[in-house]
Amino acid sequence: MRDLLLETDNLEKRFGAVQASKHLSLQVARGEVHALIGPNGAGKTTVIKQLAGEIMPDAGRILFDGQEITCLPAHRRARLGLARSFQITSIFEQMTVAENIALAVQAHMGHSFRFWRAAANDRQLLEPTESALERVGLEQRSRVPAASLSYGEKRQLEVGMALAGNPKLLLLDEPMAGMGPGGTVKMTELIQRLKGSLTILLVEHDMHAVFSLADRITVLVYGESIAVGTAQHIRSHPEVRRAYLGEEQE
Amino acid sequence: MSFSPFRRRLVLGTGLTILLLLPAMASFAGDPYLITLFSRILIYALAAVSLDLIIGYGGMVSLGHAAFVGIGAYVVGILSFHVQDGSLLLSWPFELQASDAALLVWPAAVLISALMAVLIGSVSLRTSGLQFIMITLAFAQMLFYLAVSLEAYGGDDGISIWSRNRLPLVDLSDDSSFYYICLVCLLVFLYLSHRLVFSRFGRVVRGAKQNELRMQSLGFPTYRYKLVCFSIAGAGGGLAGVLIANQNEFVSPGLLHWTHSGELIVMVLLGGMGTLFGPVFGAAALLLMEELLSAYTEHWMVFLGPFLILVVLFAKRGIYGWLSGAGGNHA
Repeated sequence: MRDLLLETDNLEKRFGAVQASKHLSLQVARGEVHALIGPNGAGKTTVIKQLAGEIMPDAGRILFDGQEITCLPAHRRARLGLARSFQITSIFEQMTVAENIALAVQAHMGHSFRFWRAAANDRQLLEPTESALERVGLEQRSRVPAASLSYGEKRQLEVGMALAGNPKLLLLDEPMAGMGPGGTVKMTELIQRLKGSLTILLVEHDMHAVFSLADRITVLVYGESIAVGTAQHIRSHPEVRRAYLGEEQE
Repeated sequence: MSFSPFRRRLVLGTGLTILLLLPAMASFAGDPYLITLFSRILIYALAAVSLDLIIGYGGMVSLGHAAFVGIGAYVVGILSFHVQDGSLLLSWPFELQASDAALLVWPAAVLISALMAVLIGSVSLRTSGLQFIMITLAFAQMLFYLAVSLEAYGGDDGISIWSRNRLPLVDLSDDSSFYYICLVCLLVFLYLSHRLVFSRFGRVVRGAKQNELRMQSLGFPTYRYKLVCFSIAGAGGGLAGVLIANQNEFVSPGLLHWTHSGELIVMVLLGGMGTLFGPVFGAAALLLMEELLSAYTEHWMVFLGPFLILVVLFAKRGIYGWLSGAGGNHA
């Protein structure tokens, strides 16, 4: 029996006539990189949002690390060790790179009603900030205002903020979106480095990256999981080829 | 971005030296009115610094900050009214004697302003942007009309205060002593704000200004942080009101009027929004312009308007940013 970190049980979500999640049972094992792929509109981001607690499922259950979290609000899930990065870069442009990450660190350290000590010299913040900066390879850029980072670096920062709380599970929502080839390679390397130190659920359109990174892949079509397996397995799966890969491969 | 700590220190050092030596310079120049004028500048600077905490750092544009100034002033006014009158402040549910001891009255006034800010903020902060501007304005105007309707306390005409509050060792009725008390209040509040802005709390508030949704997804209940920031600013406004009441020896509903809130915003914009010291320069610039120009024409605002536009257009961080170079971008 595999050690599951995250499990969804018959998740259902409907937006009007659109069935965004349909009997979705997803299983993510501890320590793996699990990719969630599917054509546009397959409901991938909807799954991420339900897992992160931004929207609530209509039915079904979500289990995280042996605990039911179906009804927990987003910030409680974050405290349990579930972090996400955003498809659209969402950082604090006027703060430095280090400040951005320190804010994320702070979020995991109880309340921030601390009015006196300068946060910039706060040892409790500095050490985890440094380590998150190193993990995403931004340690040289820590004092730069976030606004002046390149697009790819902003994406790295985004991942760094998600890593700041030392999460058990990282939800990466299209980390390569909008990147040039160079950026994609860099991000792939970054995720490769993270592999093993935590569990990752990756939503990504870049098939090359997905096949090189993922231990297992779940294919989503119209909110429904049509196949689960290794890259090898998914590549040769007839239904997947028809529903999805066929459109992508030139 | 060029950053010149030396130039900033020079500007701040010069400013502080002028403020420290002002009473001596005034008596040297034989113009005691300068002390009164600069006391006023210090007090308005305090109010503007507190307003900048919410506007510049918290992104909460309040058009009702004069309400807190007014509340602080009215606490002083009402208490001194009863002291003068020899009547009780409260006779029910318990008897409460009024006081004119600064060590009692001032903290009480600041506390009441902060509590009112919690009350007003807890409703207003459920909105943002234009609605927030309008709702803070509405609250302030409500309090303005409340003050107008307080017949027992002079209504429209306000309250004349017979003597300034008493403070041990310092005679507040002496204008230079009063000036230095104002200076101490301003410097203490600046120091507290400095600690606040760079603390963990300050970072959360600045983060909420830049990207509130992201703060929430990081796990910060931003509403609470903003509310605390709003009430700290209210406390600062209340302290400024206490000092205004003592300086003028008079309080009236005009203090709470929205135009007064607008004036405070102009000071923040003029001096440099989102900088600690900017509002001090803004208050000085506005009040000095008023003083100098109104000697020539009563329509001195005609000059203020274009000046404000020029500053906002060309000096990114107001007068302070322009003087200190680098736009004073230190937070």
